[in-house]
Amino acid sequence: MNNVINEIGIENYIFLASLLFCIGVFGVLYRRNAIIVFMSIEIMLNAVNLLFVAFSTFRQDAEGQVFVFFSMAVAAAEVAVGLAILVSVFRNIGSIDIANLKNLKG
Amino acid sequence: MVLFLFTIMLMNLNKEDEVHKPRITRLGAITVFIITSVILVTIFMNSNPIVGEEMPSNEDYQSIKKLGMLLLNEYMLPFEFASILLLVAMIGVVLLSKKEKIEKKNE
Repeated sequence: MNNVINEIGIENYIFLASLLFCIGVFGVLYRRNAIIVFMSIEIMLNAVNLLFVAFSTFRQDAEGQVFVFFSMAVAAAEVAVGLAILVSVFRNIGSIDIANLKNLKG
Repeated sequence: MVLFLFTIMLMNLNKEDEVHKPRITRLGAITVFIITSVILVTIFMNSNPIVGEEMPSNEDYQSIKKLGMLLLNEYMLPFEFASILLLVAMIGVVLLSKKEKIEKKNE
């Protein structure tokens, strides 16, 4: 069985995952739109998932992919709850600018 | 991801009402991005190479059948917990989205 990891190289996967993670961090810090912030968090999660799958194939061990299944389930639940919170925030405040959320007190 | 696309369809992302952070925050974000990416890449460049290639075995390790057997035998309990988590999240999302409408009707 020809292993795709040995052809591409595990280092390239590591570089791609770290670059994706940095793009996610940059998006969280740079944008003010809460939905874009959520998408950046998703990018960071998926970078780690990519590393899990790459190392799972490299080690020829299926447990990493099973872990990615659970991580995806938790991420789906997190995104659903987060978007519902955003919807109610938009109903109350009228915008999804995260700078407006500092008025939450009181 | 599909949920995201629906929400993006719901709101209009225009260039005009795009609000920006103050300039110093944006500069800080750019510097943090550059610093973290450079640090991560240099760390992985200078780290010890992974010793030895894994021997390509002809054993099946990532087919759907193998993954399903592993998921439903060894990871049965986390699988059930994940289903409970998704159920609770779904109920919570429905409650969070519904509540405002009910209150408005009462007013």
